[in-house]
Amino acid sequence: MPSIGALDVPYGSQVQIVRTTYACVEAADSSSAFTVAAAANLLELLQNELNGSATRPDYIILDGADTASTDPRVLYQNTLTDPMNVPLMGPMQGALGVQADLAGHQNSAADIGTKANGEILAILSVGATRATYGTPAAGAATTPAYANIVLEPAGADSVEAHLMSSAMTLAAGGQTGLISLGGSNNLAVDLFASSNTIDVNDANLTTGYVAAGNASGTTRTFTGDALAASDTVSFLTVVALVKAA
Amino acid sequence: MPSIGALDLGYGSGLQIVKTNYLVCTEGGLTAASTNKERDGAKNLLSLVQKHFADSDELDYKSLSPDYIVVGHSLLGTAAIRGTIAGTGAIAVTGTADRNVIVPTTARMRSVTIVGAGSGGTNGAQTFVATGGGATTQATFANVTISGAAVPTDTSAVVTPGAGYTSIPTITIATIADYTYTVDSILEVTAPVAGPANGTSDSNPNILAVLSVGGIELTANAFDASTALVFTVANVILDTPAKTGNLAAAAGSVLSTLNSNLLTSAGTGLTSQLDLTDGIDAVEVALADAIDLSQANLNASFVEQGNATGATPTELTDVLTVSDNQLGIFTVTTLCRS
Repeated sequence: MPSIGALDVPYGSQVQIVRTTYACVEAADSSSAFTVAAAANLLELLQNELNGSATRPDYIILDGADTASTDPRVLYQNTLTDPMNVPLMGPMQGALGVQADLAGHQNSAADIGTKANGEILAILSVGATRATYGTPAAGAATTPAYANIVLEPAGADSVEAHLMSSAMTLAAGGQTGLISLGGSNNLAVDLFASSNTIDVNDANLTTGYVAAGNASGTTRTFTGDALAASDTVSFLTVVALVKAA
Repeated sequence: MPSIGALDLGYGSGLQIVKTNYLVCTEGGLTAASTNKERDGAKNLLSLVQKHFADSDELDYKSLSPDYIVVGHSLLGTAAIRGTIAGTGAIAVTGTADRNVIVPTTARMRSVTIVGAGSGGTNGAQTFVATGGGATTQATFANVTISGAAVPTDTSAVVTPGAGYTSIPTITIATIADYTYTVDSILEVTAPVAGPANGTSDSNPNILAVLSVGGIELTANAFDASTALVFTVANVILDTPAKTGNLAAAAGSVLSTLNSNLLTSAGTGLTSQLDLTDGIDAVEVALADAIDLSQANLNASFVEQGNATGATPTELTDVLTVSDNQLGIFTVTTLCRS
């Protein structure tokens, strides 16, 4: 098992190996609009409890009512066959340009281009697993059970080739740095199939959410507070070679 | 094709790309008499293959030199059956645990085939029960095929085999004699990509991603007088994940399946062990010929190269059989953090 090479520290290097994990959540009520903050809180909750693990998510993707997200970590998508273009690094494209005082050259994905999400050079590996939160207990973190998700985009592609092709197609259209999980032959169907819903409007994710490390010293919200029995979160991890900036 | 980046020297970096070669062999039939898996013989076979590949000047086998040896517990097993075959331990391991020898700790039945020999009995309602052993007990198996003369017609309902089987199922066929059964099991292997395979160790790096997989089978050509050994090498098609029990039916590419295995295994933590089953099982299936790891040339008569007495070392030609494909190589390249 020889090491055939190693990677230097990433600082200062334009070409980087990026490992990105997406938490895919099916919302309980797909007809209601969610608050962006609730989705961001759920992401933060998962990040806290999965910190240091292989499944710690960087972004959250919700299958629910389409809502314009202003959070760079959150994407809403109501129809799985719609384009579901997500970055491997940098902000979700929907969050670009939402700030009112940006100048004209700063407020759209097309203008910002590779400065926001880098340039995807190669998709190296892809994997997915589904976490099922069996019996959440209030006031405590929940350890889920994990099971493989078989990723098989329709057609003969391997998953890696499929995502790389999508990155090339998007780049040709001016959306450099993104991969598509939706659209034709999409992965989103695999990711969300057989998943159980999560009530993203739960009070523990909205008005009642308490962040870890809050100034008042209040006990933080746990998955045991916010999730219900058998709720599932699908995790998709993509490792890619990305040229930053 | 411009260079888009480069890798630094491996030394001193916490993040590394590791290429691991697993030598795959199978010790033969899973029968009622059981099959031992001799670690000592396996260790010496690994040494022979490493030496042979390293010495190969004409053939560029150096990149194939194996780091570990994986001993398949069975390929196919066949035995006569009359009455009841009790569940029999299929994994009886002998020898000393070794850092480079990987022995699966579980067995999963892929299929059970029962064939009537036709020498007696009649068709009719019979009792066929295949009872699982190990951690998961199931009454019957899926993928049970019954054929031949005088076959029992009453088969219990079948279900999908589960994980954790460590024995041949108990099979009962009442009153009808002279059947044979064949058990085919899946090679289940979870192993490190670096560091010792026996026990967990901090020297096993955490695996972040599987970047590449590949598999080949090697058939030994005729030996010549100088004991030189050349293999005919053929691809193994890996893209047929054998593992059942995933959320969806076996599908997807092997690469993405191994990465999904990695995430599922790591769960809320990290893992230094990779579930190779979905790729390495295909390599074992491709091996048509078993190797006897208990043979003298791999045990009591084994002579290591460079021994103090100057005795002629054992060669791979002393161990393998001409025209047999007894060896396979499964290669995994991973991104690791030590």
